[in-house]
Amino acid sequence: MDHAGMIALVGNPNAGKSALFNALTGARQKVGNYPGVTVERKAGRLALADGRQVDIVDLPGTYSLDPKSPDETVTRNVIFGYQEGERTPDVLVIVVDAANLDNHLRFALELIALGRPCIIALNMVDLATRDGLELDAGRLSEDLGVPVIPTVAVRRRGLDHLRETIEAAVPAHGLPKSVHAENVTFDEARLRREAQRIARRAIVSETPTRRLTGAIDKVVLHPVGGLLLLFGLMFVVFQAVFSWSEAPVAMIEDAFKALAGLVQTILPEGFWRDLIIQGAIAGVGSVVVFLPQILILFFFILMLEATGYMTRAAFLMDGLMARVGLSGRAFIPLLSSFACAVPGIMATRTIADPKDRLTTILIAPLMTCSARWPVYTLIIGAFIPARTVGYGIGLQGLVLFGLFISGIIGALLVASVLRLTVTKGGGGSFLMELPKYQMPLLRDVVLGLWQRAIIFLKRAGTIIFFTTIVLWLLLSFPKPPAGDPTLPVNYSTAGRIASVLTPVLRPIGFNHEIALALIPAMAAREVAVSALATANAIAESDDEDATAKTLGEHLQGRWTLPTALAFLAWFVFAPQCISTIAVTRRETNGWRWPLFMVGYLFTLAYIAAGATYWTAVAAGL
Amino acid sequence: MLLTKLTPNLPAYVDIVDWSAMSETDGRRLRELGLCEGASIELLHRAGFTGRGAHACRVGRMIVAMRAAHAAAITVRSQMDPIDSVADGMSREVGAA
Repeated sequence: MDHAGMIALVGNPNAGKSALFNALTGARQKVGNYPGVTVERKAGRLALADGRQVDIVDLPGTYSLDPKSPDETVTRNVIFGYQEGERTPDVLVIVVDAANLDNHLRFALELIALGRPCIIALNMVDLATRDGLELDAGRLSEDLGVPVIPTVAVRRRGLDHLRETIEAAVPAHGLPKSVHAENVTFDEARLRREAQRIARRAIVSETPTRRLTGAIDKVVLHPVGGLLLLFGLMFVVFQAVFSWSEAPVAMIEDAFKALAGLVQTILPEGFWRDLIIQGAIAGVGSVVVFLPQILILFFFILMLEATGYMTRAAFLMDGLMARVGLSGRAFIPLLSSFACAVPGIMATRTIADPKDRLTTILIAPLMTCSARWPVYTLIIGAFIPARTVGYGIGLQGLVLFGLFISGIIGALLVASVLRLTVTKGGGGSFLMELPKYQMPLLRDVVLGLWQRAIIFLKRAGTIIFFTTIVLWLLLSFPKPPAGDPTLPVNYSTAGRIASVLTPVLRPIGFNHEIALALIPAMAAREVAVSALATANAIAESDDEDATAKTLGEHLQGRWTLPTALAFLAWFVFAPQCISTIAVTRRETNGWRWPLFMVGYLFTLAYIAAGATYWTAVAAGL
Repeated sequence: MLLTKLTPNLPAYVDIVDWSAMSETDGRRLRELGLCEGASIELLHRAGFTGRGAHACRVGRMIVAMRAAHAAAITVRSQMDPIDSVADGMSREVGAA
């Protein structure tokens, strides 16, 4: 099969580029990152009628060839042939929103001026008609000097015509491979006037404005009604991520337990059986178990994006988020992080500004995720008396609420400090188009979910998997000699590391068993509970509540109240979650920021636990 | 009057934009979104209760969201005013270019 050429889809944000890309390539697409940057590369293959296959890339949306952000820089570099890891496109398919013609034509004129073969996909003509706009594609093509094909990507209209036009435009032997960017300058005002002139000529008839979008916005953007709707929606999302995931998570856990049981019956006792069951199966299980939450959260995010609601949510929340130097777009990823920071961090891809996005990623682990619950309930149940403090308010609930609030306040303070220091610059503005409302296309949503799942399993999954195996090795070896009464876990490498850590942790009230529990809890916070049970030689039963109760009673006799409170304060801040660290590495494209995150969070955890411990000791608790 | 003070849903023209009140990049992005002297504009929504939240405006056929600080750098004139105000805006824009 002959590989002939490379097509780039390019255009303004909200022109429907991705929908067109999905319609042209179907499931034959690959999602990755451009080398050295966290800009998503979406590429696919398009089969032409003459048997040729062309590669097609969906370039990040931009307003001009003068970039403002890393993704816009990638678009510029690909078009000019400067982008590492990408061929120079032979044909540019410029996607313009038919209802925003004058605005989108300005960028189209820049691209046409480069002299490369161009085709205009006059997209979303159905929505333009819905909004009372009739266009003459023939006249537009005449004025622009390039083919103009009316399309409705989501309804697959105009695609055959577009394919035929691409086929005619793709050269058999390629083109000169780069345009020299330094030789390309544009007169902004002249281009704008030219775009307006051509757009006016192409309009056959129009009514003044978007009626449907305007009517929906009256409710959605209302200062009171809009906020109520947003919080209602977020409540549903939050509930769904929490509760809809319970059944599939339990099924995944049961499946991995069954698999482990099967291996146990097949393989003889020994190192390899333990490695497979406690290392490999537990490692894969700890990765796959996140999928339900990730898929549920992204189902909502993709739906909200596709309808056009997401930018409205950012609009409503921007005032609040701006106070700590973030943009309104940070709200949904941060809220999602209350369920789990992993999908929350992945959701920061909706934040365009790189500094805003980085800050949001760095504070996401401070939101009280569901993995903290087992630790909080164990310690609160064991050490905080179940009494009321008046007005029917329970002391235990009050402490739990305090821990939640501490996480939020901590996150806001950290965001303010980061925006003034390490993530200074960029951002500070909130300029965006609020797109038209549209019905989401289930096929595109499913495709998006599939891509998110693959990205998570491939990139973050490998790190989580290997770390789980390493932690298992640390906790299991060396084994104590026969007849040695030492608990195996204390004799292991992890036990010895805990002995080194204990003097460092003693000033904040932590003992050896806490130091030991913190090592496996690097895999996930909730592991601290089972690790404490192991360190206290409490047999784990299938009934987790019963294990926790026995453990709680045991800890009451061994820990002081200041130690227990310090332990809680530690878990508000400590980055005890290898999945969060792995996904941060994936989303920031390197180890620099995850290491910074781990460093600052452990520092905060140490300070918070120490302050809590000494305050409690001073108060005579 | 400033865009921040414009009555919602009242059609107006952009009269003067104080480009020095914003970064060069933000200024360019505003122009790329179609907001420049002479453009038709209509304030649609203000977020928040104090009016200091983000502003959503119709610019041409597009709805553009911006913070109040940017909106405060834009002077508008009602479309009920004489039409030569638009010509004024356009000539200023050409002069700036």
